[in-house]
Amino acid sequence: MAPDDGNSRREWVLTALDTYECRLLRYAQRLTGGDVNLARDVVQHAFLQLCRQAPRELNGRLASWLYAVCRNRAIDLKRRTCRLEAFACGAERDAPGRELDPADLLETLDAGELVRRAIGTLPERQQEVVNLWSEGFAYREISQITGATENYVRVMVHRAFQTLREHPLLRRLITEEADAPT
Amino acid sequence: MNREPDREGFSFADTPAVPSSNGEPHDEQSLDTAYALGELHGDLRAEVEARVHESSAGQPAIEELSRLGKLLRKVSEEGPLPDRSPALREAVLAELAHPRPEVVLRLPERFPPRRIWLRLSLAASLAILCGTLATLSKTKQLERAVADHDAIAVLPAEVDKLVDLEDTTTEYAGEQEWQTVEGFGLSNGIADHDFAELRLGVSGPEGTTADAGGPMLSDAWEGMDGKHEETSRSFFSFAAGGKPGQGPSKGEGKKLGLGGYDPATKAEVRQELKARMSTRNTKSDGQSIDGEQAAEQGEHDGRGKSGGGQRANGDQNSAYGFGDLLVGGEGQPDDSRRGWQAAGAGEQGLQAELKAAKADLEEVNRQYRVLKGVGRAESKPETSLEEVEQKIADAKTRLAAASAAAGLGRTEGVLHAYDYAESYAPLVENSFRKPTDQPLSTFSVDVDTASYTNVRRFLSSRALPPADAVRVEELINYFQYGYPQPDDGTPFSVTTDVADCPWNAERRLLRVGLKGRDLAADQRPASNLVFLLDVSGSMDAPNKLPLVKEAMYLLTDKLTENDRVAIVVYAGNSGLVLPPTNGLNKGAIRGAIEQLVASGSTNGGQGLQMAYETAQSQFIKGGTNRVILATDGDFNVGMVNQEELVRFIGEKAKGGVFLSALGFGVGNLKDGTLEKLADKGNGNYAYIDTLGEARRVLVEQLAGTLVTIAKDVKLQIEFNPGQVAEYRLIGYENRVMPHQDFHDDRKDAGEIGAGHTVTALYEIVPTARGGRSGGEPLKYQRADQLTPAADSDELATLKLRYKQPDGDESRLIERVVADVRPQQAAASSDFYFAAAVAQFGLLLRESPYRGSATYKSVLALAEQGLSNDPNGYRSEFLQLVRQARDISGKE
Repeated sequence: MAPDDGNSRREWVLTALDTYECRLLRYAQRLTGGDVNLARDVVQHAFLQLCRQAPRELNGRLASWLYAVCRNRAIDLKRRTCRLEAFACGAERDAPGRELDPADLLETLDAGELVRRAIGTLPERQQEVVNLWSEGFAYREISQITGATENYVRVMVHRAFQTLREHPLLRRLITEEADAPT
Repeated sequence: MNREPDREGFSFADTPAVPSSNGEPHDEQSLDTAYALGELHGDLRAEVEARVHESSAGQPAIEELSRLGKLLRKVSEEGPLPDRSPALREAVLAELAHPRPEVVLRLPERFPPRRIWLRLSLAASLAILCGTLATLSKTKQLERAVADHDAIAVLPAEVDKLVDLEDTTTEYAGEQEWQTVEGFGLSNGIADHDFAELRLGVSGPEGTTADAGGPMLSDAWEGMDGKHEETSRSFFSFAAGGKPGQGPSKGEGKKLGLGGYDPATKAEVRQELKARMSTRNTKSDGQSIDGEQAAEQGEHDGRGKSGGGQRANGDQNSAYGFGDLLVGGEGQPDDSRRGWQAAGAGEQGLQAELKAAKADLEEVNRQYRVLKGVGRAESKPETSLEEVEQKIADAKTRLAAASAAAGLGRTEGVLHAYDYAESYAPLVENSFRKPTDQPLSTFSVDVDTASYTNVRRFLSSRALPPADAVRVEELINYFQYGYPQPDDGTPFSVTTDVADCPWNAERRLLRVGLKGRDLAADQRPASNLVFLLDVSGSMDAPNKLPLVKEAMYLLTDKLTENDRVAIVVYAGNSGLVLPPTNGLNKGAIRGAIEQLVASGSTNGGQGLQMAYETAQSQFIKGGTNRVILATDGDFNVGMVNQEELVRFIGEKAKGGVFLSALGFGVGNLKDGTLEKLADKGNGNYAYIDTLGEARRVLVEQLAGTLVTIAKDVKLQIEFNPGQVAEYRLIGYENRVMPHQDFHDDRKDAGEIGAGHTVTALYEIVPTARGGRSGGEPLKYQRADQLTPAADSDELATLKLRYKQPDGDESRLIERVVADVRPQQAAASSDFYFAAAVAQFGLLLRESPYRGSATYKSVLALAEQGLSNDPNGYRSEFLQLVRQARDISGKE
């Protein structure tokens, strides 16, 4: 594609918009703690930035670029409004297990909701990394998005998976699925 | 202090893993997980595979992990997605339709070498060794350390991590204030700081813990493996050993630090933290401030400003104007916040409601986090998170819809996030008071007009301004009224008159007008002006820097040989772009103006110092010495905090260098901050939205803008209970003073410039016919509790204090205000025009005190004032009223 050609750029941006808008919005919403409008602003910022990028520069890593811009923007905005968020980091070292009552939840929630709840109990950074991995990003891409090293990503994913594996909400899902033929 | 950072998880190089701090062999296991998730390739994969196959125990675990992985990806794939937003597509299409130059925001492939951190911590420790360095110079030093590192773009995410950790430490510390230094490593002039925000250094609210900035950095680094206790220990042991007796945060830090040191007491400390957190009621941009400190701040702020709920501090970092710290005049954060929320509960307070909701959420969030942090699941926060979130989402949706409908943001083609980034100090209107309870009303004059221009900007972009952006007294004072020139040697004349209140037939309106002595252009004393111009990237908009430049050209034309002008710019770096130059040397001045370009980030602090130094070096005794700040908002990022900034400016004002503020642009305006700075700097604050406004402020009213003829002008009115049942001061909410400050010459108040007019209106409920009891005999009260003067026709007695511009002692003017009763001849058209403007303000604020006011009645009233309209400002006002009427869809 000719990078400076207005039409192809337009196509490129619009394709990106079609492909990633909703996913990015969901991601941004997570980053902003559920604030839909703030998330929209974040995503809009990312796409407006995209309009000014050289397609060739982002070849092959468009998704991680968009996610990274969203992330930085969200952090930027969030930090100004809500620095207390950082307090959550203190939770990272704590043993998991502060939990909702799993018994009721297992009865009422579908697998997706269970997984989301379980992930929600993880320390924030692990949540972030796991969510990104679940979105389909590889360690390397996650490290590009978050700016952490791959080593760090690997360890975070590992810790998160250890916790999730033992998680009362997910335990049955994992074993049940083991029983079912795949 | 400079141990090499090599912790697992945060190391920059892809070195083989080291055992984590708690001794668990995380790395091998994490490789297993990576293998299970298909994240390993090549040799490493083969290696791990071999190991897993060897171990019989490993196999099932791997399968489980892999199943879990599939489950997660499936759930994510199938999970609900938010809807597309047509507005976003529109925005993108609009952006694509106007291609702008390509700017490459690169995602770095590699992380910067470790040595940058070494250098940072080295610089930091150096700074510590120097020990007594002032905060600013320290920041400078750290900045330089980074700047030295020429080509390296500081990786934001790594910085985030660092900052996160520091933040963690901060939270443990209780209260620290962070400075933000933006824009490192962005040599290609990207205004956006997506990729570079680095926060360095700490400073307590009084600059107390500034010295800890260095070790925080390096210690935070050491603490990167997450050993918060250790981090806080080293930080606090340092902090505790620092300068003694410097405020509350230190003592607290020491205490907590000790707890962190001893793991056994960890739980205890957390408990204490939790207790402390939950007793906090006040918050400033998400950072908690404990009661003691808030009270202290409240006291500080309350000086010269008491009354209802007033806001102090806090807006400098608040992107949305949320979560701003509210401190009452008497340092009662609790009360003022309640008062504010109550005030915001009205339908007019959508924004206030939003803020309240946000504050609620933060409160809940905080509780929840504290609980999580302490690991106590059984106690749940009282309010449900969802509930509050819903409240916020609703409020925001409404706000967005409202502003979208009103066309806000469409002026820029899109609805930008920064439409919410303007911040206004919440305003609670004065209420009616009874002279029997509160005979006195005391306030400081205010000649600012920024609110009017800002309102005009909103209306001309077809949006109604937020209520807090409407300061009624500034609307009224935008206009000149026909008050006489002083003839008795005082710097200003005092006029009082009374008429029926147009929006409430039963009531009366008292007008108090001050008129500053006019000064012909050739009478203007010699002036020494230093312009402090914000040239950060955000000023790169047609209505910002280019407008500043146009305004400067206008001013340059008016300069004479008695004037000296210098220009200091600030952005990432500050600099003197025009050394003090004689006003006749217009070529040099124009040349310097011409070369101004917007780029880089904002660091106002350094520039401010430089501007004041320049002004002081050229000090003209008996002349005008003034720093004129032109910015779009984010001014004080480089300064320690707003309190310090305000104090600095206040001190300089006492030394004879005054400050005026010119606000520019849309979207980022920190209205409250600028008003406060100008207030403390004995100057005025004007918002420049158009070239016409620039001409008004810098040409037509140049003398008023530059030459102060009276300072610390305070008004006190005593109402006669015999005549006045209730009274209400319209506007001046943030200028109300404690009564005892009226006679206290140490208390700062407003300034009047040459030719300025100041107008204050009181709405008055007259006493019922036959006196306060309506003719009925009273059993418990006696009318003769009042002095004989209460029986007179006198409505009130006006007292006024002012100082000469270079004087320290105030003079007193006293004036009796009589009401001509029962009816008087029609008030002057001038009076009615002022009343119309006040009415307009009340309508825009949707004030509960607006009575029967409608846009129609405003127009009818204002038209009477058109006879005296030499500059066309009044007819423009009529235009605005019509616009507001059309936008609001009301009569």
